[in-house]
Amino acid sequence: MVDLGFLSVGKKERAIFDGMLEHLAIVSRTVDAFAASVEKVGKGDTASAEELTRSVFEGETAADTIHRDLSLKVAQGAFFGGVREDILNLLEKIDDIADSAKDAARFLSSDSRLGTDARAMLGSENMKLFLDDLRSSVAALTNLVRAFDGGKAEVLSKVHSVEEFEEWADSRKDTLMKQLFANSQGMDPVTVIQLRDFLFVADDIADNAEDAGDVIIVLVAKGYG
Amino acid sequence: MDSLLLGLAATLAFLFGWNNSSFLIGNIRGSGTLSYRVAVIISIIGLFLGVLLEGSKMATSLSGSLAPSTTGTVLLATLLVSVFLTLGLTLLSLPVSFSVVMVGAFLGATLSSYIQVNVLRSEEVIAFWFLAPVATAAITFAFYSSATRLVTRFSLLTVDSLNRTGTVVSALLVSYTLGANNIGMIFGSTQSGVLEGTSGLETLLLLVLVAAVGLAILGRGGVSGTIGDKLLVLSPQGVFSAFLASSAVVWIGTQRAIPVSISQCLLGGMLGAAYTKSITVLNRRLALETVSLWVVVPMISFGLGYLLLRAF
Repeated sequence: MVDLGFLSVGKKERAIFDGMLEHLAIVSRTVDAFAASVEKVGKGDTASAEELTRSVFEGETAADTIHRDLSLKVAQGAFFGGVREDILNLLEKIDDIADSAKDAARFLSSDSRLGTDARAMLGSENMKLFLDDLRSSVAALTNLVRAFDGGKAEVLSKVHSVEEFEEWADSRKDTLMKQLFANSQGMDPVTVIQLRDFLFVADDIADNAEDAGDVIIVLVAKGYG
Repeated sequence: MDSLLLGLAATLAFLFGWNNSSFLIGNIRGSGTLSYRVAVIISIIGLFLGVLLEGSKMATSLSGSLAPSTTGTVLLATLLVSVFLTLGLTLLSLPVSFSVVMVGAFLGATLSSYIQVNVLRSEEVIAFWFLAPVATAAITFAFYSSATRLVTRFSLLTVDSLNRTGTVVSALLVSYTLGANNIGMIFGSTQSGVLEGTSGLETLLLLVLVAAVGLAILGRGGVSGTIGDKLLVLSPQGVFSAFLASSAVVWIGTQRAIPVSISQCLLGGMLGAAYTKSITVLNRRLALETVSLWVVVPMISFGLGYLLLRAF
């Protein structure tokens, strides 16, 4: 990697990039809190689950604030005109990850109706692996954005890792869906719908991470000519 | 007659600023790098520097070059035809080559007045016009190939900074070379002993000022985009390479006192950049229209110059 920072006239752009990493850090903590809250629900630890859910909501709000500030700075004239819209799109996709974590957490926030079968599913090994894939997709995205400081080859080498974790998450989601409907006989129908929707929305975490990775590919294509 | 020539030259300079706004500020504006006001200021600085430092090299680009001498009437016909054609083409939002129009009109009017035309020199100028886009394409190809290989090692943020800096630098270079070549040529059309007692520098500065007014007042749209994004889509490095190469070729023309069209060079440059990336999507209709104008317009200006002088 060749660092020609002395040639850079991009103080604004560097500040936005650092802000983007901070944004990702908050989003990542939000997703971690969400995953932890699901595990606590699975164990029946209601108090801890509620506290973690509150962390998810607070994290999402903090992410929103940073997203708004960064978007404003970009709109005011940072970056080359041809990639400005893509930078805004990238910020939007990163924020969508936190939004998905919050929306998914909402499904479990009023957990008094969840029966034993539902909790068993939430605490199952498959669910744990699913949540790990969601965390990993966000971590891979963070590594990808950090690679902006490297060259083109470095960025492109890391794009696929986000896609891989998204595919794993998809696969685990399908397994959990099958598990859910296989055990649905003993569950309240509303709970079945609640868990189904929970899985769909939680999977959006990885989907949004992958979408962000796609935007980065566009940035590379446009920026490196 | 002196005032009339100067007035027409100033009108032509105004049209130059208007018609060339896409080359002078279009790149900066399109990239969103700088505000409109700052883009205009940078272009005006480039125009002034070009005219002051090298504009005088074009003083003999018409009379003293294409013909050993000339008369006020020939210059009057040249300027009238040039104003008429450039105004018409500018209103149609077509890029017009000032050099081609003026040379065509001057040759037509000179021939009509029975003044000896320097045939060898005319051939040299026309040959340069054909070679210019080819040379620009070759230079662009070489530069763009090297640039894209080099930037892959840079961070995305550094590349972004380079793209924005390159946009400003290319605008400055284009303004400089256009100022020297085209405004210098317009200045040459007011000279040749007809305006004795007039300070050459004052005339040059006046023409630059008028061009700047044309650019500032009317240079917002219309012609902008015809050469660039409507022809084919290039990356920032591709556009910068094409502009850099075009400026280099126009500069070479200035050293030889040859009026050169930046639009012709740019077309060659953009094709050179396109072939670097094996881009095959090209607005062929627009390319054909543009190239046709290079042939049709000088013939029309030649004919009008010839006929106008007959009418005088």
